[in-house]
Amino acid sequence: MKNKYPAVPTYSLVLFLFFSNSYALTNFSGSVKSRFERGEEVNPYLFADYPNNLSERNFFELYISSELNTTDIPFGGRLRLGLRLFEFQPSSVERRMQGLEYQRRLDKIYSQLNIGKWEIWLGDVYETYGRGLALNLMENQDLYFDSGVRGGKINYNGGGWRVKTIAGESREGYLVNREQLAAVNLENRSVKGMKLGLSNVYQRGVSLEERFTPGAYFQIQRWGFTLFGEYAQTRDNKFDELLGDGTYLNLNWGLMGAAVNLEYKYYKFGFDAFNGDSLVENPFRTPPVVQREITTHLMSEHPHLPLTTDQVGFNAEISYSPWYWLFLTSSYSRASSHEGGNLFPSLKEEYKPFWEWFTEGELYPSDKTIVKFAFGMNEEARPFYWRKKTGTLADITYYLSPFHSLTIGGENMLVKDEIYDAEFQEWKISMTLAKASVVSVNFLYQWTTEELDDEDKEWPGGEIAFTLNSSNRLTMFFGRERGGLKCTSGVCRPVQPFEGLRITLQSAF
Amino acid sequence: MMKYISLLLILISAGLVFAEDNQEPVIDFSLEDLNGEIRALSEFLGKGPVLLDFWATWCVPCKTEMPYLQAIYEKYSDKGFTLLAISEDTPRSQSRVKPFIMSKRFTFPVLLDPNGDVLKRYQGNTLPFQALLDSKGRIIEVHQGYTPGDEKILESKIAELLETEKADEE
Repeated sequence: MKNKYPAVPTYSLVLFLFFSNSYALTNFSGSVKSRFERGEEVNPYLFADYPNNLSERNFFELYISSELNTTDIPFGGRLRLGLRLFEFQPSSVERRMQGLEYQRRLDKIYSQLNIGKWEIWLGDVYETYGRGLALNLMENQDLYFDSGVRGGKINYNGGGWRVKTIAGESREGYLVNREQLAAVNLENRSVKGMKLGLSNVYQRGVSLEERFTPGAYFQIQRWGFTLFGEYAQTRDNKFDELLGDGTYLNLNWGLMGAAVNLEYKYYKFGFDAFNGDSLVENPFRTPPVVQREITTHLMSEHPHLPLTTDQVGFNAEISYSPWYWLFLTSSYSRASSHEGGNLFPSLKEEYKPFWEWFTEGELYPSDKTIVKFAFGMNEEARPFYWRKKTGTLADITYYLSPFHSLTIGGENMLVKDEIYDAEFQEWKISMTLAKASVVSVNFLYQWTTEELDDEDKEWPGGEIAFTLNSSNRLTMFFGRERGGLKCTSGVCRPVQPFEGLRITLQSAF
Repeated sequence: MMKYISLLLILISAGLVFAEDNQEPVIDFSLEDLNGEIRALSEFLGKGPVLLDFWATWCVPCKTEMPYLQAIYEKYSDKGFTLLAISEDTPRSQSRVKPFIMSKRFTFPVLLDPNGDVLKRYQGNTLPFQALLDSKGRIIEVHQGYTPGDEKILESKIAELLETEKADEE
């Protein structure tokens, strides 16, 4: 990735910030997010056992964002201008594994104008249609995933109708190719409690043929029920070949104190893009995962991967709060690749089956105490992998005074490896002492009985977080961290085991 | 291109010097609520302070804090205070928002921000993130993260802001 966007000349920024801050009709805001890491990480290219496979890790990232909002424009309405500067220094392992390079650039720039029922955007834009089967452009800074496009969008919202149009080009990055994209979405909300949407997305990649993704969705809300359904299909440029399709259904019901949520997915979009040498999913489509992504910490460290390429599955979740001091949730998920035209997930090994049952509770026995507990089981089989896991978690927070608290947590996971006929356990304990809005000190210790060659079997660590004032937070971590797959919102990135110091600063002003 | 951006910034800066005051909130936004209705921030302004609480169903500290926010909402809502809980769940986990709110018996309004656009407007980089606004929509304070006891400090700030706004009215 090249340093393509030079910085805006300093003098104009200074003038801009000075005058924008000086007037009540205008609001100027900004934020800084910075992370610095110094230590060692596992280098898979050294082909040696731990600790001879460690190499130096020097990592730095910095985001500086600023935004101006004003109602002082000659023709009325609202104007919003924003930009973001980005500096990024990846470690040597990340440079080699993920092709990341040093960058310092004007990362984002955008303007939004709202006049009456119209909204006009220019610059870096994001958008979501329905639940994202046809289009969901998003950014996840933790994973360096950014499917936003540089271009523009025009939206109209009035009289029960909403029209959204977008056009632009994506930037090449993690899991994302440079592609041209244009899309339109028409949504009607004329009938109370109902909405109906139609959309079409056009894509043209550098080396890929043109594709269209038409889609439709609906939502009906009555008597505490919400029913949502969406269908989208990808076709080639002549509309004569179906490249893939997907369906998502969601029914939920809730009354005060109880709720049921049922989800179903039938995704068969297939791989339709190359990123480097790998085939990847379409990054502009991130539909619901239809599973719990967060269960216990240990079970969530090795998550089941939701795929839009070839997966069918469902999730059922019940939540109940009989009294204000007790809250219970239980969920069951199942997924597999498609077994012919079967509408339900298969349990046969060749279809990569996965199931998970998870229950958690919160208990408030007194004003000073919060107790959390969880129990989960899952099983997943895929080529060269078949494991059953059972996890338990307990966590107690006690208020030592109105502003001081102590939290102690413990967690266990039993893992059975069916391929190697092996069994091992993982443990994690933690303790946090905190003074509200001032400081929190956390110690944690994680270990496993699994035989590992490429990393240590113990991960001790300590973290101290200072709230410098309400808008500035400084966090320092020192210790050893386990590697694995880091997943958020269905997007995953491999993270190497790390040991050393991490300093994070987050400010908003 | 940078020349044009610089010129644009200078022109806007110059325009701001000659601007006239009005009562419209500088930042406004429209989001869908849990009933599928589109709600604007400006609908909630004018009665008293508004707390924007940005959260997500996958954010454990956010969910830990929410019962305390419900208690604050119950205590001060009849005095003009409004709590707007803004969910940052993307379409991946959006279906969990309404069941969570209903089963927890929360009664404050909940809005959906699936792209994180409104969070970005208030310069939030992490969850939970809160912005306390006065009745005109001006940002009085922002707060990042949650440690037990933060809710008590927040409550005192809300009470103080209610007092100040009441005194200003009188």
